[in-house]
Amino acid sequence: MSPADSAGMGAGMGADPAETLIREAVAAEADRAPDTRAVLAGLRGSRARSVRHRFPLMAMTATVVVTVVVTVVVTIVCGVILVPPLLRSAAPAAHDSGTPAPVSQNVLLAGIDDNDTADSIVLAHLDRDGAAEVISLPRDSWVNSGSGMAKLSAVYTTGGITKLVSTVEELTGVHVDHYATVPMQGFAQLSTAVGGVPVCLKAAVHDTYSGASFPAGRQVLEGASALAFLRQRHGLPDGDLDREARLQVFLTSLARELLSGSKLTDPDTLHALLAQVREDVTADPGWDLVAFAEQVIGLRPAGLRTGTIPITTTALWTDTSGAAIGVDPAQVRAYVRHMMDDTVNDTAPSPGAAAPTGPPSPVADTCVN
Amino acid sequence: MPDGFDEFVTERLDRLLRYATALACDPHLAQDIVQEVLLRVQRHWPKIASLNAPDLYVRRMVTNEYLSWRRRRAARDIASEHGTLDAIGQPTLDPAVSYAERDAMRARIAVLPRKQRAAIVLRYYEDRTDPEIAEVLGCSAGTVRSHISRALGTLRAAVQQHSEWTGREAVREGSS
Repeated sequence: MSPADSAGMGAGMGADPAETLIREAVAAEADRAPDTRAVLAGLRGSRARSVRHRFPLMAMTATVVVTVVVTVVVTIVCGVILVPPLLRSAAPAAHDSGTPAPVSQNVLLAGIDDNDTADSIVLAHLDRDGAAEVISLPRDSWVNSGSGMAKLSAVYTTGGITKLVSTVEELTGVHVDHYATVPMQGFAQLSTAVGGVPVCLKAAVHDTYSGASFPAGRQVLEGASALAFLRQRHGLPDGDLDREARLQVFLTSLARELLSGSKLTDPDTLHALLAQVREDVTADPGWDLVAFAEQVIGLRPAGLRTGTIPITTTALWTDTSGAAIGVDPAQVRAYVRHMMDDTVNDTAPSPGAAAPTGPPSPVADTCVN
Repeated sequence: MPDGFDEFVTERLDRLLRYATALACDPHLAQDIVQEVLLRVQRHWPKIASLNAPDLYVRRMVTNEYLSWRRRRAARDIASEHGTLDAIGQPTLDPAVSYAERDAMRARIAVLPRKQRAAIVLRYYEDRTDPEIAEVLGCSAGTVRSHISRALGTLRAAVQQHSEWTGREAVREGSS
């Protein structure tokens, strides 16, 4: 740090007006430095204020906004599915019988479609005190997989869940404690048990590939028709994007039906189906699913925050994989750190709506292609 | 908090913030960057404290954080800074002409390519040696010299233009 070191410049100090001017200019710039107290306060935990301008509102496409909603749904649906029947019927007893106290944990949930593609990828952080942050990672996010750049969804297809876990860890900077994959098809089966799931179509469709044949407008789907609705990608304006949107409105609507139970005519069938779907859930061997399910059930609704990782562009053209979603790892890490910072959550004025990407909109009522 | 981290922050924070501000040309961004970095430093403090030059290492972290933030914002910021440049870069007969000159230089430094700017700040604000700058930027000393000489080339050309202007004004004033 000795000023004499700069004598190696070749140009004599002070003799060169340009260098003098540069010194003054840089020093003037440095003089605009913020007060150290702001940073010290931040280090002690109350980071909310300074963090705000770090995530300017970004242009979000409908797809991305919808993804925000599905994060909650997937978590809730997974929670509901994972709850063992015993726990559901005799919850109070289960509490005291040696179930370990809830721990703070990071969980990666991936919804898998029938092409073995990770359709919906969610990173959830569950706090000890019943708060949770659920962060959605768009499946087309263009990320470093360790062996080159790839879409997140493709990372799962080619490398399996372990590769997806390590990629998400690298991208978000957090350690994933546990993971689970959930087959999306199981959700279609659940639609029957809840007495049908309301959806709305913008236009009538007839597709021989998937067997989808629906009129325009609001309708209630169940069983085979729900499956066809979820499978169709041919003959739609945006192909796979439309299919993704359908999946998301369907899940949101399904979660609403599951939680309200208003049309639940046959609880036994529902339990049987839940058991069936649960069999298809793959979780890491060390994960105490009973404790997790209990923790999900015990979530404070007000303590639930959702969001989507910041994206730089929704139209990143890649040579190998077509259009992808651009993400900046530094931004993603900062965002995830901010979201998962317990102190911020506790001081947030209205935690339920505090997601930087905006509160979930009533997507279940939205008409899709 | 880990042992020694508090002292480190107390001693270095002000300087670190000033460095980051000079680097980012944006006090808010500088605050965010320093905060992010210090949180990371805090977590890995025992390891960082055991290094030869923890201070230099933290400088490097701040610089890297800045370079990666900057990547996304570059296009927008440079556009707005060009506006600033035009606004304050016009030679005037203002009595505070030195301030105007200095601010014009600030604007010019703000639009330098980011690694050149980092090299300039490390050289002219931090008074670092070439090898030290090389360590912070993660490149060779030769690359540091090339960054600095290119930046100086750009900035000198601007100063020359500017003084030709003001020189002409002075001559005209003197002869009238």
